[in-house]
Amino acid sequence: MKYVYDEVHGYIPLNDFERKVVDTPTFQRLRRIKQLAQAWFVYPGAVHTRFSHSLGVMHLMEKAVNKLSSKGFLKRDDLQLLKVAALLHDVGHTPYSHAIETFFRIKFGLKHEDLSAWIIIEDPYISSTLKEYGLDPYEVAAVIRGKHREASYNLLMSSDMDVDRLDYLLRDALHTGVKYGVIDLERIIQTLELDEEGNIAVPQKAVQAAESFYIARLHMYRSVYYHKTIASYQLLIQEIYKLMTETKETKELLKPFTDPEGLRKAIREGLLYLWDDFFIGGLMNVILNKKLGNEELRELIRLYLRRESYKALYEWIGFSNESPLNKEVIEELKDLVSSVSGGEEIKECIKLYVEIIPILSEGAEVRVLTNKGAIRINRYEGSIVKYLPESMGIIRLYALPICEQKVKALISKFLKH
Amino acid sequence: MNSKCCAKTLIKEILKTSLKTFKERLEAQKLIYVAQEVFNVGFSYSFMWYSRGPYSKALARDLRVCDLPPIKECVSPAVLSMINSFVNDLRNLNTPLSKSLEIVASYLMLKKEVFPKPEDPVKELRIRKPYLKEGEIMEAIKVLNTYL
Repeated sequence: MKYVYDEVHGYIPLNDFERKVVDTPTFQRLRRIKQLAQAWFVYPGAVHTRFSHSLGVMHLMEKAVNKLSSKGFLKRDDLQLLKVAALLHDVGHTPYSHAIETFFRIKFGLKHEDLSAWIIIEDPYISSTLKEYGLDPYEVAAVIRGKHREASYNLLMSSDMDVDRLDYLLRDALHTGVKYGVIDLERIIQTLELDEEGNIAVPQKAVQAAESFYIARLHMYRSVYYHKTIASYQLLIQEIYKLMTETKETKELLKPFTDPEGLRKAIREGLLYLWDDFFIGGLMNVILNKKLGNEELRELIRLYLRRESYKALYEWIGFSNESPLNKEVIEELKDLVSSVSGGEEIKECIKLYVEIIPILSEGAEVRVLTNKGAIRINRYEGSIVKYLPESMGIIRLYALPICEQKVKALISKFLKH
Repeated sequence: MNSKCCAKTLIKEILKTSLKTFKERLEAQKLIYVAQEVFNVGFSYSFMWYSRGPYSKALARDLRVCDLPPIKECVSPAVLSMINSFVNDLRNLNTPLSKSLEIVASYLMLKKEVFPKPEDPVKELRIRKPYLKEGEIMEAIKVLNTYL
């Protein structure tokens, strides 16, 4: 047994199998992918990585399974399966986390969970290690993709109050310094149960711990995950990556990490470990230094490196149980966007940002165990979660410095109208 | 199909539902899973195996925010008619539609996607969902089999 000291959970033990997985080049790549992408532009301390988060999720999975099995809700037989699934749940994350993932999701419909599944099944290092220790890579991938036969395994990995979220809320709150992201982890784990259908549940006495989790998550959405400046740098890096794949010279440098086929080939050849934050960051420096690609790409990279990204010139945030967004407003803003051009060098200097964020995942909410049976927490009279809105909507207009004045004037006209 | 909001249109067309209650939205989830798996409607939603059967977070989001594109832009009249006929056949059973849809969608997912694959998906359904009666399960699957 080896121990890794973690800043959130203290010593995390790794058995021989887990250590072997962690020591693969593919897993070590996660040391070089920041957990919160560009959040360090706003919170300088937010430079923690997917590596420590993955260890934390594995640690919490062990605690949750031990607690649930001690209460007779789960068999302990699958502890190793669940731990390694937790360890590998983010192994397919793109560099710069969600920014570049968004590029692949929009252009190719590819999500990091799909990449994780490909890696677990096809990456020579990971797949052979799993087989060597008697685990079926397909079964590990099934837990991560939410398709395991035991629905409770899927829910432990992905639901409103899963081990992934329990770790990242605490870790991100610690590194950003956002105090209201803190949750009562020990109370949640101690009181964790499953209802008759295998849903994550808590007894009535522990409702406050679950409530504080929901409220902390909502605060973190606003303060960190959808923060206007952080979102701006994500838009910028996404645009830079897109332009890199569209220019022949830079596309060659980026290959094979330009499309799903290239990624899958890299996975099969055990080369995915080369695709990290350093690679993309280094490439940006080379493009500027050697004057590669077109001027638009180079200018966006300059803006990124000088911290002069898009500015949010208009912002609207609202909450609702139905669609929180005003569609007429969005249509008007789309017209406004199409009327602005940055000119020859940067064509798209304005961006419309529209997000709807669920505050509750319907069907995967925490259940409260009462003498009348299990009740979804957002339907439980004794919980404030019942009165939380189901989703949050954000509309923003971002503009680059070159067209800031023009956009400001249009927005002021729009607001008067 | 040219709109990602077509799933909502299909649901409105077939189930005539307001989608305001949890039960209606669960019913809608199962309908879309069946539309994809049995009638090859290309919505491309990825579903997870949850306690009440297949569930897609992306679909849940789209049901909340989408407008309704016209049905003719979403599915062909022939496919629409087949899905309608399937749902009507389920409605004619002595089981509430929400339950029948849960049965057929869960059975399909156990058969096609869930891992480790159960040897007998019907038996698995009975174990996983003790609140379903054997007769209800068999009747709904019988209807499903006529469309496979």
